[in-house]
Amino acid sequence: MTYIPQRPPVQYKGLSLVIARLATWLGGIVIPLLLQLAWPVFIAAIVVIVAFVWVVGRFINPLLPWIVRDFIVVVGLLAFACIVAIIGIWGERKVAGRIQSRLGPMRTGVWHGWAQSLADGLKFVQKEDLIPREADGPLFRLAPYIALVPAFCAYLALPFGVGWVFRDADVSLLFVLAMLAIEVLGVIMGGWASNSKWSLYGAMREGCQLVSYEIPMGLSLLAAVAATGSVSLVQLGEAQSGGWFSWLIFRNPFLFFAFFTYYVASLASCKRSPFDLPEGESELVAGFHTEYSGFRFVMFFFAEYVAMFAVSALATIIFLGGWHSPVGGPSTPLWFLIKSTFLVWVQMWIRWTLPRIRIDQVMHACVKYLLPFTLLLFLGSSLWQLIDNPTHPVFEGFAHLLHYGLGVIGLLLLGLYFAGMVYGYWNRNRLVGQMARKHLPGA
Amino acid sequence: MLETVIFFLFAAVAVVAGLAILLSTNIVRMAYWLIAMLISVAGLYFLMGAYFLGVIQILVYVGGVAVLLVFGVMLTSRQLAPRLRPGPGEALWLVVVATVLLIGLILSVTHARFDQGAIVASNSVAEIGHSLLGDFLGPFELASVLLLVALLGAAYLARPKAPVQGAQQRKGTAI
Repeated sequence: MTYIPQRPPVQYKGLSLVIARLATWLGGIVIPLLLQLAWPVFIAAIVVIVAFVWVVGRFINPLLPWIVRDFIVVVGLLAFACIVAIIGIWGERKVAGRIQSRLGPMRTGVWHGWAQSLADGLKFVQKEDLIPREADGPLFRLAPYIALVPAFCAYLALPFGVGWVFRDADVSLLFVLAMLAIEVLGVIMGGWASNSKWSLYGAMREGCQLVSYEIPMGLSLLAAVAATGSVSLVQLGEAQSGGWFSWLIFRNPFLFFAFFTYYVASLASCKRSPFDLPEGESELVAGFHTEYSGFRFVMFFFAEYVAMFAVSALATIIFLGGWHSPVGGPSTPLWFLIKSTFLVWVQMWIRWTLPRIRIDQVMHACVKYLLPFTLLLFLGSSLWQLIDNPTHPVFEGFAHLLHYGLGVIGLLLLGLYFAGMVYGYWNRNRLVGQMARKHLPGA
Repeated sequence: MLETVIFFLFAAVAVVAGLAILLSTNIVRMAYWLIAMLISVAGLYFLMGAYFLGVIQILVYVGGVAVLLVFGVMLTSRQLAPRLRPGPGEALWLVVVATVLLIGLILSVTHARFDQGAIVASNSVAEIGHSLLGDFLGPFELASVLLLVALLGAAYLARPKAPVQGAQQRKGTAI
């Protein structure tokens, strides 16, 4: 007869009794009620947030001492990062569903399962906090924080618009890169402290992958920095006002490709497919977070989505005109959010389209192709500064021609994308099954 | 007031982490204490307004060097870790080196003039870049050559140990 160790039943008393009762009440009555009233709650939440922001900005903000103001802004940024992660996780599952011809989460909440992430979070909080007996306890407990906190810290220097930035530092681009570089330490720490082979392999992969992809990532950004002469994100964004043709991505052919090399390297830096080797489910059970359960796992998950938005925001600010409208309208943080969300969405699209590559292929692709290519791009972009200069009238026409030519290529790519979208929508009945078709828009 | 509190916070973390590097016997813990120390020193730089220095400290030392260090250390066995204590010969060398360093440090601290005002350092990245490629071009190039030499040396030391065919023959004839 096999011996199955049994835990003693949990005795609730004192505070734990209150919490347990509250959780039962929440889980049994309040949450179903909220889900029934999903639409009113959703709209009410938006109204409350907008009213709060307006009141703070109009009346409270000028009266507050700076430390309280900083506190409020940090809490707001934290809330924004959490919302990014929550919507990102739900969006990822919807995108995955659509790409794999299924529905994704549909039940939780009323409208297309929008409350799925909240329900998941509630479930994770209730889970037991498991720590392996042979694990390195303190490091194991510390690792999720080391992964999540720097990813959030990157938002402190990230401008959402002119004046919409917590700290407009002179070196904000480097600050964001530094914060994203610390994040990997949490992953490595968690992988090593778990004292499990899967975790260690995941952590090692993450380590070597990130250290090698940081170089092409930095070099691609450096090409853009050399073109504008500033490492301040606000100034980089402001250098691209006007219209879509003044974005840095269309400034010269080298920067055009630098955007794509940056994007590939950023996929690797936040462990997105096809570079999600550190958590390769097919070979390492769950990679570096195999041993993590409950809320610690959620923190790793949050860190990934927060970092995804951060690298997309960097790409938006540096290459895609930041908060500037493509057609010359008013520049608002809304444009920044739209472009960044689009890039996050492309990351999800890539994840569910491309197969995972092997670790030797990852290193091969970086060291043998991406790194020399970005070096070449940096050199070319630096030399281009000599040509793209009004004092050389010979090259002026040529430069303008290329400038607009690249813009047209970019527009063509975007048009191709929209054409594909329309084609997919038109032929949607050929792809999905009977059940999914009923829920598709326009059914 | 607040600045002083934050200074002592970072300084305390740096000192505690520095001591913990020395006193810890687990090599991975040591590496993470080193990272804690580097980050708190970067925090001190931020506090003094040297944003570029602080950011570069994190980017290079924490993001690059420390990650590689942890990566290398992770490959060592966990069973070996507690036995990480210096032998008597190593201890002698350690004492000699540490004494020389301590004397140098004490001399430099006692000879430092703390009464001079704050140095008006150029904080802008552009000025730092201009001075690196202008006034300090020589040391800058020298440092990069030194790094290149170190890189080549490391690659030479880490070359595959399996001897090449020709080398094996020469070794055989020599013996």
